Amino acid sequence: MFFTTVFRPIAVAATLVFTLATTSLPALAEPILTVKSTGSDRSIALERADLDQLPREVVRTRTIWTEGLVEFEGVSLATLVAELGLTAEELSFVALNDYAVTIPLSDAVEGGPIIADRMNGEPMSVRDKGPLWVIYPFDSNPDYQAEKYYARSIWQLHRIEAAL
Amino acid sequence: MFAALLVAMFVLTGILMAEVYGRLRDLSTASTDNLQWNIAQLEVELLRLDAQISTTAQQVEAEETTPADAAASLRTRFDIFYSRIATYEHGHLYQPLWQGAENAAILKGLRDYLQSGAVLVDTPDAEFRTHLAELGQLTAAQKKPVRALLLNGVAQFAQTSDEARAALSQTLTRLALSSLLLIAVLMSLALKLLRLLRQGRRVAAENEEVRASLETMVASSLDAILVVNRKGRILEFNGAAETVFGYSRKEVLGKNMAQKIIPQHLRGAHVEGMRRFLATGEKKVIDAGRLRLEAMRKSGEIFPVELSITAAELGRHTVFVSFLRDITHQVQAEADLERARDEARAGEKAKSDLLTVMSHEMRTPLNGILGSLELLKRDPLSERQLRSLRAAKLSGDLLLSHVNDVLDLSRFEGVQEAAANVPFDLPELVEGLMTAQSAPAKARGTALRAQYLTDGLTHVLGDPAALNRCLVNLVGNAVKFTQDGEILVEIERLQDGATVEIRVSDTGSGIPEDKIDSIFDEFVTVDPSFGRESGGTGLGLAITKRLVTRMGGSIMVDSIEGEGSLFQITLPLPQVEAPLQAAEAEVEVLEDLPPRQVLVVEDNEINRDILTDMLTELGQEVETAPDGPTGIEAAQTEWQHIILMDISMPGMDGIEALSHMRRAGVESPALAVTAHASAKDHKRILAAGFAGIVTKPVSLDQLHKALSALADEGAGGPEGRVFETDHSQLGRQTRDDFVDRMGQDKFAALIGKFSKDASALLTSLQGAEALSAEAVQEAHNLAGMAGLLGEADLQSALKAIEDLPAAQQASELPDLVDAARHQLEALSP
Repeated sequence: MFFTTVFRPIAVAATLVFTLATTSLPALAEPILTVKSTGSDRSIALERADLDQLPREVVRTRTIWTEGLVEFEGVSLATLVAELGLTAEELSFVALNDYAVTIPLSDAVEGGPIIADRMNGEPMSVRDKGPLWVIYPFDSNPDYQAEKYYARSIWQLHRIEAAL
Repeated sequence: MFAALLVAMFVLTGILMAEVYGRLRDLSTASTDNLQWNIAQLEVELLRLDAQISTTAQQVEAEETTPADAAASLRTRFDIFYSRIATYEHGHLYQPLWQGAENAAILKGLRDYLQSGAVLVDTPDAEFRTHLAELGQLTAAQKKPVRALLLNGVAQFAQTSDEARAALSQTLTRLALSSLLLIAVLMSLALKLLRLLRQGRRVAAENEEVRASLETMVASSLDAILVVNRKGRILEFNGAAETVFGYSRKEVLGKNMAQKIIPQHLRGAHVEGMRRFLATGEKKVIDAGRLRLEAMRKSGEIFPVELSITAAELGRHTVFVSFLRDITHQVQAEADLERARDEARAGEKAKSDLLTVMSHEMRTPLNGILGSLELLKRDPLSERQLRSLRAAKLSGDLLLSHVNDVLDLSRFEGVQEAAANVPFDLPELVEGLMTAQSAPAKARGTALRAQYLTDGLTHVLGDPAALNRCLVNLVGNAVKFTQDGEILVEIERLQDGATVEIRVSDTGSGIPEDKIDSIFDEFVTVDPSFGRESGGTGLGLAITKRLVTRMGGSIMVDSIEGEGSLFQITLPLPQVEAPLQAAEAEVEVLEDLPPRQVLVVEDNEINRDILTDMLTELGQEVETAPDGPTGIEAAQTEWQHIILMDISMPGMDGIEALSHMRRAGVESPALAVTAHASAKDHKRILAAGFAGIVTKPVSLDQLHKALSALADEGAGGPEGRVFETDHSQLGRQTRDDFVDRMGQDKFAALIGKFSKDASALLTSLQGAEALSAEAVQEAHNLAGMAGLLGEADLQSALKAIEDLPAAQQASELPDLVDAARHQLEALSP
């Protein structure tokens, strides 16, 4: 298991202007996902609105951590990888509690995992495993019902580190 | 058994494998997530929250951070811990964790903590610092329960996974065992299969050997072999078949046999026969052994075959195996043989016919020769001429007897002539024979006697004439070939009751061994020189055998040369109940007479011939004279044993001729032959010195009796005896006798001559009112002849004319002439 040694909060000023982010966003808006380059100081900060702008995807599934059928909504990993132009073979996903896991780029496929930011239509708080939760469509693809994918289903996600 | 076990093993293994798969899938789907790690995280995050509270408190004290930043950091920590508890509380994986009372209490404590903690954490930033101490205390208080929960959880989850492992291990063990068992079963099955395979190979090798040798047999068979299935298709066609039929094997395999080798005209029958066999199983040709039929070659040539067809089961199918042999040459050879045999038979028949015709034709000229010799004898001859004449006469007589034998033989050969079947007295027949043969036997110094070994011989049913003839031949032979010996005739009814055995044994010269097998063949004589001496044609035994065979019996001979012979006749002679009077009368047994010389004096040529013939048949030597004076001369020239003389002769009558003879010193007994029937006439004739009278027409039987009487009593026997013809025996019988003796041609000639003479007489008398002496004589002669010819009615009519008194001639003659003519016209030619 891959752990980042230090989590450093990144100043808004230090963020690069993300091409997809609207420039009209208020400066106060907090980024909920930071994509950081491992090879340099470059990083991309994404706000909730940024994710809302991207093509949305819904996954309805049961999970081993929740009760009953749950509707998750967010941006698919494939879309995100494409939008960000990520090419690294492996992506390191880091959570608020410093849990970290490596997801290979090959998982970023259609019908694959999404970066969920809403659960049953509501934005997720940290207490509800928010703000972001990587969800594999466990029900529609039983292949995902494996320990390796459970480990990759990282919640309270707030940073992705990859070779940009 | 094996199969069931195998299936059971497969099912068991399948079930176990399914179970293993299920357990493995449980493991692989990792529905448990990484529980221990997650539970451990709970404590980590609590400690990190606790640490954050302390850090934040120090920073706030030292004013190293803004209240907002401090609050944000702390809130995040708290929220993370909060989130984790929520996850544990709601995730179904963690539900077992809360089942223990202790853990439930801990959970409740944590929930309370989160609730009161959240209130503290969610206070605005400004007031935040005031709650830090309380939050710290609350958080620290959770350390101990969380630690306990952690330990409990670890133990619990460890136990769960131990159980899972144990279950998996158990299942795997069972699977292993079951697999081992399955392997064992499979191995034994493999062994068994291997054994079967080896056995199969061995059997196959043996079969191959048998098949190869059978194939060699079939291929090298000299007979054509065809195997055909139920549909008539050819399955096998060997080399010999190729040669015989001209087809190659390839040409006909799978083809319809009927179209290839069965000739057109037999196909219908073949198809019908096959249909019948397949429908009913009825076999006609199949399994019927060797048959002869026709077959067809490729060239269309039809040829004869000998074949046998066998139905065989080949697997579940019926096949027909045919063995055929081309018998063209054989059939040809058989046909040749048959033709040769038929030709030989026809040649034999032609020879036999020729012999019969020749003999028949010879008899007439022979009679002429013999008659001429008689005439010649009347002329004055020198002693030497007389000797030659006697020799010629002897030879002529012998020849005549041979000719008669041949004719008899051919007569008995005719199958159409069935043996008679009348009741008769067998001992009487034998005794008659004994009487007749005793004289010649005695002459050779031989004793002759008969023995009747059983009863039941006096009334038997059979053919007495034929049997008599057989016995005459056998006994006659015995007498001929026995000198100073003994002849025994034994008669015996056999156990079966219907058969009689007659044995004639002698102590004579016997039959040489090389002749004994052919003794019953025609013209076989034991010793040609002896045969000649004894006057045998070699036909006697042949005739005997034919007669015996015709009577349904058999004859055997046994002999030792120089010691004697034994002839044995076995023939059916069933006994009859009551002998009928009438039947007795019919029995005609003519005993052999001692051979003597008889002088016949008779003016009528036909009568002379007939008398000659009858006497010859009775074994007498005959001389003839056509009138009284010639008779007197002949009687003086030759010493005669018996004189047989007609009374009514032109010129000199019999009575006058006899007185001349007596005066000339002839002492031989004389018998008168006359048509005169009145007692007055008979007395006159006997008074003239005749020993007896034979009335016309003369029958053989009557003549025999007269001669026998003379033989028994010697010369000068009982005078006054008249031998009359039994008129009931005349008619057809006489005529048939006549035909038999003279032949049909001579008989027809006689009838013709008689008719002409009679017709001439009647024509001359037409309208006449008186009879001349010549006419009366002619009527007398014709009446006698009519009697001889068996025409009794015509005889009576002629006799009425002869006897018509002169006074009545004028009135009655025309009617009598008419009546006679009427009878004459009715005469059959």
